[in-house]
Amino acid sequence: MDDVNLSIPRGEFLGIVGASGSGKSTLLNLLAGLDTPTSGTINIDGSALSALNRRQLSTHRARCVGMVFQSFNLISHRTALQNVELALYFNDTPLGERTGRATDILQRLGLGDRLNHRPADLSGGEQQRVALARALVKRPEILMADEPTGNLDEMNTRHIAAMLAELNREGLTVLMATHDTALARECARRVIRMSYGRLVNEEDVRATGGVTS
Amino acid sequence: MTLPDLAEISIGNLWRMKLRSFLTISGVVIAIAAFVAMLSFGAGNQKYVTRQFNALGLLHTMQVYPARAEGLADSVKIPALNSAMVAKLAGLPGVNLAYAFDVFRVSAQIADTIIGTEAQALPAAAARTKIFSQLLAGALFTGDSAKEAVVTSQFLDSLHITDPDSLIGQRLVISVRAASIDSGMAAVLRGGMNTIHERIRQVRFDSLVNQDYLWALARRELNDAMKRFVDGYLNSRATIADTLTICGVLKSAEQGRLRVGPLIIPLATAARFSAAGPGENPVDLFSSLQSGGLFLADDPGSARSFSKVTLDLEPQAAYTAIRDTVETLGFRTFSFMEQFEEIKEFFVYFDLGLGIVGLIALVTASLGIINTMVMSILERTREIGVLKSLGADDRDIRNLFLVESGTIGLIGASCGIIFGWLITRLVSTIAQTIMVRQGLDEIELFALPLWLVLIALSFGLIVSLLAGAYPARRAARVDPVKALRSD
Repeated sequence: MDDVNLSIPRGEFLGIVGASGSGKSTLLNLLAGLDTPTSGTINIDGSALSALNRRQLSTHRARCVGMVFQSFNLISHRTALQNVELALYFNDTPLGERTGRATDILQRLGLGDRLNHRPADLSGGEQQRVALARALVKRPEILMADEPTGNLDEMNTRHIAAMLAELNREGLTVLMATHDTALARECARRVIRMSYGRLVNEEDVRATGGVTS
Repeated sequence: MTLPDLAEISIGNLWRMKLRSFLTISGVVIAIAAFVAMLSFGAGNQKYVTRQFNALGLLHTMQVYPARAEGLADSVKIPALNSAMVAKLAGLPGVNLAYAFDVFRVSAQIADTIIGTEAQALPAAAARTKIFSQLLAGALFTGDSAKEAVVTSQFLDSLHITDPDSLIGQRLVISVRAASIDSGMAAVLRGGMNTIHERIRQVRFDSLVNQDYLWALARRELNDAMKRFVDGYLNSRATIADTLTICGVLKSAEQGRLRVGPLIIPLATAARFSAAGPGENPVDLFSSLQSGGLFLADDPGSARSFSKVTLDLEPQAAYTAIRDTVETLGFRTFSFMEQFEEIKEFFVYFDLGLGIVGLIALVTASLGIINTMVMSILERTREIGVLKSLGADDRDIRNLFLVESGTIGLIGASCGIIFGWLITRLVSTIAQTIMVRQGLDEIELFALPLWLVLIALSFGLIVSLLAGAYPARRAARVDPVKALRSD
């Protein structure tokens, strides 16, 4: 990536669009602290990520960032509930609260009857909702979704998109990388376009948030 | 991540890969089982020896021997280990009791059976020490003058008797064919005054001034006197006999320098046998000549020297001080405590040797753990990426793999201890069956003390953690971005 200057206010729903290899995922990885820039700075709430060591970056991911991936990245031998609980292992959530919180979020996302199913027993849309629940269960400040609908059919795509928009309306900052410009324009308040690692276009899509499901 | 979290994830992963986990753990189980079985053998033998020493009270016993003449100047007088010295040793501070190893040959008759055996004269107080405590039947004699005898299982074997109880209350006739010094003396003077007169007549008095003749005459007379004395001594047939009642049967004890005679007789009762002078054996004659007590007819027993005196020490006695005092008196000492220390030292090296063999097996098993863990990293690279994206830091990932390898070690060590114990039970059962068939005492060859269990668990855990260290470090360094992209 090169020459990317970007400011994202709290509560923003930012759509990041671009072709494969344009740098969308890299931008999200940098913001999540999974990757470190060779130059430049990333400030979150006034704190420079570059000043944090590896352990502090892990804490940043454990407390502030929820991530959703195109391929869901659920752990195959753990149930939906156990996958969601796993996110609470790293942010000091008391053992007694984990199951309750994981169950609540899964029920909220319509998976109350799929708690004990393993990923292989769930549809793609359900798996992505489990992944979304895993990202949300720790109550992050920023949700980063990297091609969250890339492996979903039309109906599930719209369902997930509606959920992201709803979460954003509740105050969550959402960053969604997608190659689907229409989806980004439909969900996000602002859309940026990446190409060959550069930010080439920025568009304020709507004055107010909202999406039709 | 807390330890329960790590344990939950680790056990889940091991459970998921059941066959591989089973094979890896099996390697540890076999290694630990071998380790436990081998060290258990050392521990069992050590326990047996310790129990024997304690049962016989040997750790509070000191043996006293006459000094050896070899290496000493001719002018140095070797003190005699006689009755007076026994009394002196008994009076030393810290010494409960001193008694001589007073053994003599006797003929023992029970019913119609007569056997030649060794009898040991023993004070009643000594009979109450632990050395003589292992009774198979009956009781020890009631006093020093009791007309009773205690026999050992060795004595039973000589009579082919298997039931010790059958001997209790039986009459035992003891007899000694003591050589008579008087008969030897009488042989020297055989023929009376006539013979002496005849011999004097043969002396050429005019040649007595010739020193060569004088020496030749002296040698001839001395040679003739000795010949007649020995001839008279060896051909004497004075028999001393007594009838005793068998009151107890003692288990034979053979523990290094500890030896209990097949037949034990109260000290005062045995006095007339043991004080009767040397037996028929020419060796006894020369022993008596050497001790200087051959012709002390008034009280032959008082001048007798013993080959060994046993000191029974108080439990808190200053052992070193007693040993130094005894050695200052001119005697040699032997202590089972010193021997016990040497045995313990031997067992340390013995256990060390066996432990090293077991550790080699454990190191081999650790290669299986390394292989399993490295394979696990390759298969779970994406999972590592997911965990890091959720907030796991390098330490969490490292700990996760260490706990996983540690779990392999802990389960393997636990099962290995049980498996090793089962092996020792099997071998012990076979060995004891063979011992019984061969008429030997049943000895428990193995022991599983707590320290061995803890060492086996620790070794299993430590070796598995060491084996897991490299894979854990490698897993911790996995790049999460690459891991999330991996298939």
